[in-house]
Amino acid sequence: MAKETEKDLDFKIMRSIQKGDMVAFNSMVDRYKDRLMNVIGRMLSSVEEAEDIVQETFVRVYQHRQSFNFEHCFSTWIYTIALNLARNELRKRKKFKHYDITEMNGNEIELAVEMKLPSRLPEAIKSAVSTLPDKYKIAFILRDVQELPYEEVAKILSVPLGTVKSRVNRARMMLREKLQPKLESYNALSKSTLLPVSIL
Amino acid sequence: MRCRKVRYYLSAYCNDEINGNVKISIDEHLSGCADCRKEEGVYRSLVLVKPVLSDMKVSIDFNNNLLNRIANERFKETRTKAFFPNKPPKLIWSKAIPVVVTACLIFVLGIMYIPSGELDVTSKITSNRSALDDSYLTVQPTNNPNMTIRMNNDWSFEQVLARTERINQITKNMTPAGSFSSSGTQLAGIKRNVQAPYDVNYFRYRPVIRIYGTPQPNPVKEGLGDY
Repeated sequence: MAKETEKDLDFKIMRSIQKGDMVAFNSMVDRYKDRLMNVIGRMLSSVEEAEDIVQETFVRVYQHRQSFNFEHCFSTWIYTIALNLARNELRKRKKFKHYDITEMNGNEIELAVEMKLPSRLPEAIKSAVSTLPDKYKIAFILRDVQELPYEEVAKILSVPLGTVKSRVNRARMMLREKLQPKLESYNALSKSTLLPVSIL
Repeated sequence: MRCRKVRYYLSAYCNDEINGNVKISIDEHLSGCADCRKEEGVYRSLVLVKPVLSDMKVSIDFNNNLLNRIANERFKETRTKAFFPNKPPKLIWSKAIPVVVTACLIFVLGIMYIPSGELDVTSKITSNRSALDDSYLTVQPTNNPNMTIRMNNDWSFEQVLARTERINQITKNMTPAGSFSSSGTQLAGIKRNVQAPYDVNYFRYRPVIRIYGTPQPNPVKEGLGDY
């Protein structure tokens, strides 16, 4: 029921945007900017580039506002635009390989040390998520972080529902494997004391 | 249900995505298996992932930058529409190519089947020379528009001389010397006592339109003259 309300609110705002209401557009930006940033930021691993992609997404939404189909969810539409733009960006990166200047100095050993999981749990989680393959990572973030229903994730990724479920399950299992020692110690600690995640 | 199968379903079980008999079976298994309960604890800890992965925020001036950019886009769009109010028709090559090919074929076939004589414009003009205007053959004395002499094949100086003499006689009878005075509303005058037919000044005044005002009786001069 809550999801229906969200959807209805999106439609209401979108109708106002189609009439040229910039205040409504601003409120739509406020609703989705951080959600998109969390998805695109995990994909691109660069805050500035992710922000550019999010901005471009909203520009596209504004430019093509009249072509929005009210038979589908607005969130599906905007996530699809954002993910397509992010994929294009990743494709460009593959064409033009960027070499880090630290790699030119022969610091491979130091880099390998840095790639180990950090000691604190939040950093460990972020690092573990960043090492997931893209297709599992996106499905996992959309489902478990953004809490979108499986059907919507399937529409956004243009894959069958079963594939989405499989990818999400696989991502959870991978994360469990990577984070098991950290999470076990966290569980052991949290049984006796109530500590916030940030200090673990 | 065995441990392996339970662990396969465990992540979905922890996220409340399993219902019915499978859920009951997993519940029964977990109540009697410590290892799987430990696994379950790890999966349940994965809920920590959500707040950790939701911490990315856009910059403070994101909205301003975005709205500025959209304003710029709208300005560009308006300016473009002012120059190009109607969208130019899009060229559809699938339709344009047959038209172009047909036009080329017609042009080539037309060149091939037209008789060569039709295209020889110079000879056509030469053959129809008699039909053309031969006014360039006409000699018109600059001082005498009446003395138009056509340079025909049967032209002879005697004929021209006789014609000129005839004109001279007629005009002499019509406008005798002294018939017009300088007084009155005469617009063009005639030299007195001019008899020579070849005097250019004489012929120059022949085609005269005289416009008279109210006739003024001139008893002195009226009725006087050669006739």
